[in-house]
Amino acid sequence: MTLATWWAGALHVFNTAVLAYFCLITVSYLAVTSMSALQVRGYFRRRSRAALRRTLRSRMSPPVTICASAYNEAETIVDSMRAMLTLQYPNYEVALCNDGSTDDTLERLIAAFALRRVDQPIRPGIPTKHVRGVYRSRTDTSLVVIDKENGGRSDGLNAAINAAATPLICCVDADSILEPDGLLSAVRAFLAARTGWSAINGLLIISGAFGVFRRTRVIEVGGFAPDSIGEDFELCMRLHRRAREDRRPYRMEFIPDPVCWTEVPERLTQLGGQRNRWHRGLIDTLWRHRRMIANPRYGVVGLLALPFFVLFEFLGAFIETFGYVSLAVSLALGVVNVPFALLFMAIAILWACCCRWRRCCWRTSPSAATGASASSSSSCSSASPRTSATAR
Amino acid sequence: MALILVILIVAGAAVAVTVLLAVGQRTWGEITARRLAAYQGQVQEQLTGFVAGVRDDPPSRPRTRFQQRVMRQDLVAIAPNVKGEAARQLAEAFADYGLVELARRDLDSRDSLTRIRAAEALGAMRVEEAVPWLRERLHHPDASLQLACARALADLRAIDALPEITGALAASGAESGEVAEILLTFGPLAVPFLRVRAADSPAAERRLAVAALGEIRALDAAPDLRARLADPDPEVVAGAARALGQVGDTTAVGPVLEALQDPERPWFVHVAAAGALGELDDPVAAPALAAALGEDEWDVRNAAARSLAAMGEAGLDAVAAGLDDLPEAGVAHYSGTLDVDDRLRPVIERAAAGDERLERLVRRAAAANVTARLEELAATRTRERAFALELLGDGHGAAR
Repeated sequence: MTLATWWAGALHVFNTAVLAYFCLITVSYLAVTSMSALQVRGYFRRRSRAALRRTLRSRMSPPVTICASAYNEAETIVDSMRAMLTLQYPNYEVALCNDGSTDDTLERLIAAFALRRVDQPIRPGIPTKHVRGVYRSRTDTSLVVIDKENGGRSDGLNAAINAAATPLICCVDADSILEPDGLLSAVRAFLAARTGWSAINGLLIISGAFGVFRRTRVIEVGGFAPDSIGEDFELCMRLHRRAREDRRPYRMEFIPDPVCWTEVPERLTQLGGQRNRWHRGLIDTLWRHRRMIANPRYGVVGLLALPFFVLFEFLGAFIETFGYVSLAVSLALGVVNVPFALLFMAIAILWACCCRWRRCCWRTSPSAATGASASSSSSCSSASPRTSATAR
Repeated sequence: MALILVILIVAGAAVAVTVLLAVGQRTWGEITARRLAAYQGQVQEQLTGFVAGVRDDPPSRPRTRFQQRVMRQDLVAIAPNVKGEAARQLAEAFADYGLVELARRDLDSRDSLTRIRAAEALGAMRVEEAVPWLRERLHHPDASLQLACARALADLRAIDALPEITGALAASGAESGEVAEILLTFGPLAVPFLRVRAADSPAAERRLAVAALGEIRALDAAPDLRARLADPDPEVVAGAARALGQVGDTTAVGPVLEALQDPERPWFVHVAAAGALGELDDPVAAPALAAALGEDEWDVRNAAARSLAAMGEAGLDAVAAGLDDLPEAGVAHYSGTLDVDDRLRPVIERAAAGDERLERLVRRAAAANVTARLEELAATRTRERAFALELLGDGHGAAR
């Protein structure tokens, strides 16, 4: 066999493998988005504004503590807290952890909310860095501020979770702005709810910017891991793992309508940093829970969701980068298989068109359409809407 | 090569069709949105004026099917906020505009969402004649329509349909929260049904029934709730204890106290019982609550501390009397809870003034690091300053 024949054969195998990977990833995304679309459609049909209003009035709605951690957020913290304290929900508290800020975050909070230091009993649930003091507001009795030594966002959230005495906790970023009925819609999932991966209970990530959890379950698995890069993903993996190992029925749901506004990167360098951090978080979490991958003991999470994440979310970035490099090298060497490249491009275009057609043909419910226009009509350029997920 | 050319041509055509579709969709969307906004704005203005009594006439009659649906949507949105004569006039307008007939037709629409909206409208507008139509559709294969009909029947207070509603929802696998919302909408009308359910049904339904009875504040169901304190399911026991607290059944103090003191019961029953005793506010329960401050489970201590703090002087007396038997964590929990409620400083002031019982409590609290109010007093020029400094001087809280 000559070197040229060998090279052509290898190239053919490589091309076929790449095409197969492309088809597989495309079909997988199609399956997940189709599942999501069906679930969202069903969700908006079951949802009722009147029922939401009844929940708002009902004492049967479970008490919730909104947990947030702030580090050097003096500029925005007072406005964020004011927004959090005016949500439409019958029974909730806000537990904010000042995570050892070096600016005047705490002083501004003390001045704005007339905070006084109290000896509030704190549950010794999750180990955290030393708590220096707990403050309650004289003007807003539902606000509690925990001042502690710096330990990172996870440690701050854990301290806030320890201070929560309600059955449900809602973890948000301190600079997040929740829509007034956001919490109400999210918590209704604990009363009635089901979307995408959550339809088959394979949801792996509950956004760190807005997620509602049952407090006892979070404390049971040790809260957010301070040494983790993607702490929200990692916590969800531990919740899955624990529930599956204990053979306990549980659900993680994605709720499409509650909206929370959060800061997004404004510059390419920031975006790159964020993507880098997220991908390292993904790798870190997959490595920590590698035992679960393709393990039948963990059901749909182990056999479907995690292999999907490994194959497409984790490897996808490397394969794509390798594709760009190999295309450049092949072009330089003059060994690009032109018919194959055109075929690949045509399939990609057809796929993109199919996706667009599906969107055109998909009839959304009026309430869903209203929600979408409300989000898109906002002029806040540096914020993005996040919908919420819940674990119960 | 010919095949590739064909594929490329197909791809090019697909791109062209996609662009055309996208432009068409956007244009049509904008036209519809403008049409909707123009008519809706007019209807809302007229409706608001009519409801507020600014205008005498109801909004003009909708002419097209599109206008009828917009009008129906607006009437349904405004209905829950309107009471009395205005509500009656709105319901009349709803019928006059032919919206009852439209909703009845829409109940059989091929589109699921149209059916659901129709059921919601009939319920919100209190259309009594719609009860048989809605009951019939409780057995529709569309679970979302079943739920909407059940909600509408609850809005119409069709109590005769309640067993049928719960049966249909159970068969379609509705969530317990959804069923609870419907039961609560019926309010006191549902009590006889719930009393039967609480006594004789599967555990999940008994839990729901006792919770709903508590939420409805059904005092006449108190005997049934007391009987549930002996239920084999601990979650039903906890729910019954909470419900007894909510309905305010003072004769239940004894049985709830037994539930609190029974070491065989799981911790969440103790939490519910401690909370209920706080709501019942009977000083008889205070010593048992003070003893519960010594439990290992944080949530039990917390519920007991909150109830004792809510009881005021009776709680203070009970804790002071049982101080010798209380561990440091229990004292810290109680005094910390008093502090959060801003009730600890008066206790310290009374201790400084010579109340020996309270002085022992404050000393124990200081030893358990509950020192924020002492530090506050130490920084004042009050006569309690010396007392506070003395307690802080022991070394407790000096690190702060």
